[in-house]
Amino acid sequence: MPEQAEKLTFEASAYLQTLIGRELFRSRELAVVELVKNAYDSGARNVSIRISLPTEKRPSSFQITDDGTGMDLAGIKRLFMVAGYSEKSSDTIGAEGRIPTGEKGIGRFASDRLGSSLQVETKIAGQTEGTIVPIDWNLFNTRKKRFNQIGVPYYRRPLSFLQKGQSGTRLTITQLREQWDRAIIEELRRVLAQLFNPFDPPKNFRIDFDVVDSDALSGPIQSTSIVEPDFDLRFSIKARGVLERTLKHTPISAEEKKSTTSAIEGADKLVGLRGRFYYYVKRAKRAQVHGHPAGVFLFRDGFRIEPFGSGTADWLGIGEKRAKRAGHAHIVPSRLFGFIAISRQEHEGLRDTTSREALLDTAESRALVHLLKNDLLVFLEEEIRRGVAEPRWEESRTRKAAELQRVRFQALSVMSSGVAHELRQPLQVIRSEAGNITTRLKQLKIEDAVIRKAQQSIDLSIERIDQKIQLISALTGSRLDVPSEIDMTQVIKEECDQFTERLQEKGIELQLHLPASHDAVVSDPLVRMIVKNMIDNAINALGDVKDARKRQIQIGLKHENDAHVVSVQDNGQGIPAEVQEKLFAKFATDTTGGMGVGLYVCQLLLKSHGGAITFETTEGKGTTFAAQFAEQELTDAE
Amino acid sequence: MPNRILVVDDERLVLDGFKTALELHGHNVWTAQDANAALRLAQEAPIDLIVLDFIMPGMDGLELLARIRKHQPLVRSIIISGKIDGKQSEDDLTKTLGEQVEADLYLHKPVSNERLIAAVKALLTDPHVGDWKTIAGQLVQRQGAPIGKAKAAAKTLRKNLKKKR
Repeated sequence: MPEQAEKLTFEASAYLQTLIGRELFRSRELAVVELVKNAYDSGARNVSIRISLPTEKRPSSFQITDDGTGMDLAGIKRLFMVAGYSEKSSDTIGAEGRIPTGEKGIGRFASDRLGSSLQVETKIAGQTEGTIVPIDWNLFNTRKKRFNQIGVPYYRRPLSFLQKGQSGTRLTITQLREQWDRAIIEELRRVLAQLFNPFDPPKNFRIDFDVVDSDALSGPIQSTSIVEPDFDLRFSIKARGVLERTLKHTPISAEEKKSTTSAIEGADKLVGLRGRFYYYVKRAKRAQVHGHPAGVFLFRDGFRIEPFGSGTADWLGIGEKRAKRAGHAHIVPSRLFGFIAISRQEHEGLRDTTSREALLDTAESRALVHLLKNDLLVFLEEEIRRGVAEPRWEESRTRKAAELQRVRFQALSVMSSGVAHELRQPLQVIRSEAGNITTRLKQLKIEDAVIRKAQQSIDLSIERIDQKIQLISALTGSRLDVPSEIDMTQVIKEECDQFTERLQEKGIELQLHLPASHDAVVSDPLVRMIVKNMIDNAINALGDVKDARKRQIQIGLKHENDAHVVSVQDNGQGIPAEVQEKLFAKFATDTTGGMGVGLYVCQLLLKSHGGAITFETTEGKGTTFAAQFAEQELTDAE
Repeated sequence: MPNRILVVDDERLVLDGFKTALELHGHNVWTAQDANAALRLAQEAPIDLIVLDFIMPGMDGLELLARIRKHQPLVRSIIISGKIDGKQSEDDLTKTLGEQVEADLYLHKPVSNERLIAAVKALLTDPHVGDWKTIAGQLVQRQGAPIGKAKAAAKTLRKNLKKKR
């Protein structure tokens, strides 16, 4: 079958313009973004957007002016009037070597999304006259005519806003499809503020807003800055697909960064890509992200690609992962901020669809998603787990253990307070009757060394049992769990006063090294009990001193991190190594000279309040016990 | 004239211990194992001193003391208990309880005989007790409940006594 000489050609209906202009751009804001990109592509350094809000006298209007290269008539015919025409990505523009963003060649139709009437005023440098093209997009809203059957008039005349040496373009849009109000302008400002990669914005490009009669809405658009993340992961793809990544976890590794370099399969297609993930362990504060929404954003040559990073785009499956693995996924989407920079020149395979809804499915786009998910987010998640989640679990375990200990202790308290009372009764009988025997023997005038020794032993034992009962009473009779605001200096002094007589009797000098005052939120009875015990132990320890040294006890008080530390130092004989091991053991009384129960209980109590008791001892020189009291929070009760 | 002392405790052995100790030092001692028995004894004969535990089945020591006072406003009192917070000193407790029920003295259990005897002696040989007894005695009917005036006088006297001590 011979081929016919005549060829068939496609022709576009004028309605195509309506489809592209009005229906391709899903929002007003995105239409404005397209116009801003066009200005950028024309080499502009300044873009000014002027919006008039509607008044009774005139409807609202939108005007965007740039100082780019502008167009002469030939340019308009070649560039502006050809649908789908765009600069080649290899053609850089202007002194900065800009890579044009308008790869689709349809941005100019975006004005139709805003309003039906467009006036183009443009001029190149060196010419006096510019070109004015008034376009009524409504004329294109017909399926009966073809695109090229609709004539658009133009005029040549000097432009009021451009001098001879200047160049630029101004688009004035009227007959707006929707009335503009403050909320819409605010939203537009927000979208434009997030248009640029905050870490890699386009150079020498600024957007100014002039909203008639509103200073608040006018002014330059500032790119949103994001600062002080807890995790800062930066990465880039080097030649041959080598991934370089550096992680900084503040404050844990404030000075130390974790860097790795490794070749990644498929990443050779992504050479030149770079980016960073910021992660906040807690919801980011306003001062840190300045209202920037969370998400992983994609930027091409400094400009944001929609919809990546938007609330609905879970393009890396982070939200999905979290939903599936509720408690085990460590990345919370609302705390993750990602900024990925790609380039039109270097990553031709990373093209977004004309509808701006996704990246085209290519080997490169699959490699990108794979890289971000498997080599960066998995790594980040692991670091968050190790750096945050696990310590938190540990903290939670510790807290639960302390809580359990407290509950146990309370149960023990209830029990032992009953037992203590019960013990006092038979002890009273023993004491009374032993005393009666003594009295009776005296009356009968019986003197016997053996009986006297037996009586002394009974008295001493009663005394010892009594002391233990008193200790238990002290533990159970007071509200050790309730913290209050106290001056620890004062409390320690009061406790020391109780020992005045005993210290004098034993010839021990007490030296206090206390600040004038020391405020703390701790349990008052706990502090008293521990301090009392420590002084008691120190006095006992000095009882072993046989030589002529001046016996001393020194008491100190200081802050250490979040704790209040009371130290009690004696210059006694020190604690022998074999006793040290058993010092904190339960009921180690026999081997520790009576300190066992006290220290065991002190340790138990302090630990259940987030503190501890430690000691340092040198044989022959003395011992220092240090009790740490963790600063508590005031509870509402009492 | 030997003193009459009433000892109240819910444990027989404790009572026996105290009774023997006091008797060996020449006091006349009655004992009661519960509050009701103590009240009965207090109504039967005048008492100089009551030694009682703080906690007893049926009625606590403070209430018992208050009730006995209705009949015997001049009775001196020593509370001996193992129940009260051992952390508080005896002096502090004496002060607190003294303000609450005008008890004269508080002692922790287990108390030694020496201390108990010394306390009893101190209370009963208070130089002011003589004056007190003389004045109050004129106002108080020995049998039955004292008249209101006598009760008030006894209260004032107890307070004055405490101040001087």
